[in-house]
Amino acid sequence: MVNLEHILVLEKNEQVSSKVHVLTFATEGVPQSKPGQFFELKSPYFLRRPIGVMQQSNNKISFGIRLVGKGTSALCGLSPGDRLSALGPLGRGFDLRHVSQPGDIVIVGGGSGIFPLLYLADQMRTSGLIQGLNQIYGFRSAEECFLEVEMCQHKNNMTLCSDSGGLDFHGHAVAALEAFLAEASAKPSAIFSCGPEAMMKSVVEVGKRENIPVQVSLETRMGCGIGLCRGCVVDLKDDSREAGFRRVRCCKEGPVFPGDKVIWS
Amino acid sequence: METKVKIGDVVLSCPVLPASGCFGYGIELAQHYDLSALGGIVSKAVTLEERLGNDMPRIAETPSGMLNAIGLENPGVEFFLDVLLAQIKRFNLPIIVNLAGNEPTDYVELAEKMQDPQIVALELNLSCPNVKSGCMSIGTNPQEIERVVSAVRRATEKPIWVKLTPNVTDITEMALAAEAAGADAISLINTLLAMVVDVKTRRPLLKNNTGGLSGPAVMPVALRMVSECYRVIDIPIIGMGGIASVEDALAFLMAGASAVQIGSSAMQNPGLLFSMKDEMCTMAHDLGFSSLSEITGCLEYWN
Repeated sequence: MVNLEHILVLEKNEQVSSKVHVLTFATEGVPQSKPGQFFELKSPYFLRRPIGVMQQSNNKISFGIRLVGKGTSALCGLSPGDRLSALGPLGRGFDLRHVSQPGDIVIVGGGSGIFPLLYLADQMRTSGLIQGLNQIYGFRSAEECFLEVEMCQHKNNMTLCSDSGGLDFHGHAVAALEAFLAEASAKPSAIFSCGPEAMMKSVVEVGKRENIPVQVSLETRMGCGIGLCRGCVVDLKDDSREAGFRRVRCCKEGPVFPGDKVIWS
Repeated sequence: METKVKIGDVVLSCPVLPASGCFGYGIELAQHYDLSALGGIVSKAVTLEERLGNDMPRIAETPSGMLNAIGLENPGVEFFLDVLLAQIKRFNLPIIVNLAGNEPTDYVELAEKMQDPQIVALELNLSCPNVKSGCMSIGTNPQEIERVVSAVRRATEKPIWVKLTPNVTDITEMALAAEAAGADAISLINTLLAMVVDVKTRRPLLKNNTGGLSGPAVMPVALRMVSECYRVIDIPIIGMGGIASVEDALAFLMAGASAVQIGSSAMQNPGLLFSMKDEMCTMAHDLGFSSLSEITGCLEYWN
């Protein structure tokens, strides 16, 4: 039987922007996660907090955490040496079978959705199967950009976007994606996206128009994160069902889904 | 330490059960834990037809607890019997099936379908606060409780546990109605009807507007209700509501419960369900008990 609960020991707590911390823990005995998978981190409040993996290698695991409320504040207040219970790895990650197909890959992220994509990009790079990897990350403003050069070992083909200017691209990440596709010499074989729902929805629209498969990693309010409570369901188009859709658990069957199947709320 | 308990004619190897709706059908946690540390399995509510439940969001955090408004999402009784039951049976544990209906007749129809010998009891859900008909609307009216329970009593030989709602003025009236109609045990409590407001959007956080409050926040209410019912009914009580530690579980036994169910705290800390039996034994031994069953109702009240 695989252990579900792990006690992580904090090694490093870096504040990378006014609202974002990167926590790095020692991970003895923690199974290797796939990009897109997440852990349920214990908080001093009642519910655990589902947080996507930003990096896992050499017995270390990192999570990027955006301060959104009291639970995430508590997590960001941890000090080196503190112990934290984590359930995971949970969910199904990105389907990397697309990666073996020739052609470029585009990754489009926004806000805290960028963290799991950094792990995805890293894994794609080390797998060496892709020809070109293009990353487009959006922020509301240049001040909110938390991507330091050291966090992105290969800044090549990475476009940082800011709605208010001051970064590589002045405008929304979806506009940057459209600009990229307009200039690309060959059609990318897949798009991977994680971020605000409106952004992912637009990315899926672009993918449909350009006939490029899009995978999206969704965030929902979760109760347990381990498939028990059905608190976090997502509706997926399914013509084989009378209702035209089926209701699945984001934590178990997701959080990554084929973008064209998602029925957005 | 003797851990066996009797709920009417049903013998459980220990008094620790998962609470309906917080454990799925046991399939997820069986990959990580040895389910034999439980006294049995309590299924998520089964209804006649498939139900999709309520719209999202369905979960909200509260001080020391949570709200849920799942709305009894489940694949329906046919799928339960054809597919899920075989998977649950593989765990070789007593199975308690939680049944929920829109109409009183639904409970009868469902009970008649529960013939498998490994199903040791039927838990009638007269208490879910998140659906428009059946459930809590029955469980807040003693005449309705009596009508449904006696109809199910005539339809099945299986022991009937009646899961009651705390959203009533006097819980003992409901417990007495269930007992009079032939229930073998009562399960206390389901969630408390509650609401969370998002002041920024001026909306209730849950799409259903209201949900059921569970977690440590409700435990003192649950304990009080178990204690009140224990003093007026003769059938056993399965106690639940916010149990998050071995002390909590023993408090329920002392107040009159013969077994306990653990729900939302086990979703946050699944290991709790599986260490509970051993922890209960250790603590019961330290307190001078030689069996878990003798703890039931030993609470000494102030005059």
